[in-house]
Amino acid sequence: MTTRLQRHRALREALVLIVLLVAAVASMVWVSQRPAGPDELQISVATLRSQAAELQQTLAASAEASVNPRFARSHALQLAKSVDAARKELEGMAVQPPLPPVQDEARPLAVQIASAVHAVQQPDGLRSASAAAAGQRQVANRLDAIEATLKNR
Amino acid sequence: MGKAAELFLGILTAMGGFVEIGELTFTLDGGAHFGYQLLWVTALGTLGIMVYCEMAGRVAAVKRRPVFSLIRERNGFTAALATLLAANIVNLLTCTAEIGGVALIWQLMSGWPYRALLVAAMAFFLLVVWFMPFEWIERVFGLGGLLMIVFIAAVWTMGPDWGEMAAGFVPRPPQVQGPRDGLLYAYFAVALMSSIMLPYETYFYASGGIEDDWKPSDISLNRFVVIVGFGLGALLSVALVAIGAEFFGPHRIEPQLPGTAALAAAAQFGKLGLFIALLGMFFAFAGAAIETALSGAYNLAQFAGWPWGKYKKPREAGRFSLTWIAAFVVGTLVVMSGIDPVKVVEYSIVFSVVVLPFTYFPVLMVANDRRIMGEHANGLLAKVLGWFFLVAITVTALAAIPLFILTHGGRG
Repeated sequence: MTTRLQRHRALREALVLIVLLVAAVASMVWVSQRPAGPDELQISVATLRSQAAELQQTLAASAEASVNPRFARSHALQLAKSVDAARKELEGMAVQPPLPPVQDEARPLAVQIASAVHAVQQPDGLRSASAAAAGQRQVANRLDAIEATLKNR
Repeated sequence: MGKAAELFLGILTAMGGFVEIGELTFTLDGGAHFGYQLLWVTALGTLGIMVYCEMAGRVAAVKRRPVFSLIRERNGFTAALATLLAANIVNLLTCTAEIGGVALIWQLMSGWPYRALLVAAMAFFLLVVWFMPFEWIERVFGLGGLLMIVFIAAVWTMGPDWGEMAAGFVPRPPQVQGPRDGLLYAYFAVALMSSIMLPYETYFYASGGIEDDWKPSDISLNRFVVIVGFGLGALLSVALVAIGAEFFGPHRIEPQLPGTAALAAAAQFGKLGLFIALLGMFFAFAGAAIETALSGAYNLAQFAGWPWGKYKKPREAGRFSLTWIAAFVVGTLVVMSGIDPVKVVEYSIVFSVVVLPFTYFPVLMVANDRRIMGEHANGLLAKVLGWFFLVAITVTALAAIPLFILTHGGRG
């Protein structure tokens, strides 16, 4: 038999838990809906920089035959989904205050990474992409520089 | 089986089952961002999971009482119901992420379409859990997960700065670039702690002890397996932090995919290293998928007082069996909808932190209680460590959501 005190305690604890869970869900929704600022732009650029570096690493490993072509293609395919998401995020980002030169510089680089990662899926695409792996390193370096500029603002 | 062989296999199984997809991504990413500076969190989290799994295992051995039965008794029906819902949401999220992780690994190995592999993974899990005895599930996936030792070997061949690595085990103010980086460091500390102390491990460990028919005479075995097995398992986490620091950090890569982790093994050992790493990750993720699905079923059955256990025929524990089947089916449908399993990992880790204090508090209370546990109640050391970690995870739980917001979901 539960006492009144036990029932109140149980109710209080349940309320605390529910409030915590609602706060968690609400905060996640809020995070995803917030308008973009320079910080969000920097995050987006950093994501693309990491993806360009990862693609370069995958292609270089394929060129050195330390991974098999099936792995390289499949990994590029998985990476392509993340690249497309990051590229779309950057494209649709309305940064406040506006930073047109930075966004204008980053957008074509995002397109370049997306093209390269999708090209790996084409017949003979892996070989030609692997030969051009160094290009992705340059893209990553340029994004790195943009990221540093945004960080030091 | 002899005691020594049982002990040896128990240790290896605990070690091999230590890492899952959440821990893999957070440790690698944490290492890439902050070098060795987060190693002390790995050590602290490992000690925490040792303390609470040992307690839960001891309670299971002495009283044959699983964690959720204690939660209901100690927290009352309503709060226990809320804990059950939260815990099983976390279990389902983690299971979903692991199923997605297995399909990603299979895709890397076969090149086959991801969605078809998700369906294959679901069928694989249903068949394995239906037909394999509990002991075999533990051993096969735990021992298979040991293939991840390839990451320890990879670190060894990378020739890391051992002094810097050792210094990482000492907590100190982080060397970061500005307050935003400081917040990100705190977020990674919270996420790492949570990924190591995931609540399903305690639910599964205690329920597994009952499945394995532990008795008070098995308390020493429980203690030894937890300390040595999890301690060795933590070496895998340390190796993953080191790979993040030595390989991905300098290449400016923030690893998010299982294939990215495999690249580090391939860079050291070529195709053989790649294959072993992929196979090790498959066993580790698959083991975690099964443990989370079973944990969800254990929790619900223990809360509701239904017959439960893998040692029972599925028909004898029908509602229990239906629950784990539902976990695999729902988890697969969630990732089939196109949701990124890596994103699911992030949410499951943040939710887990919030659930941790509600899971561990009743375990500590029962293990402390001499009237219930008799001579096997917590001694001074276990009490001090138990309270220390309860405070630590409560602070972590309170900090998790604000940090998640301030760091844009851990992105920067």
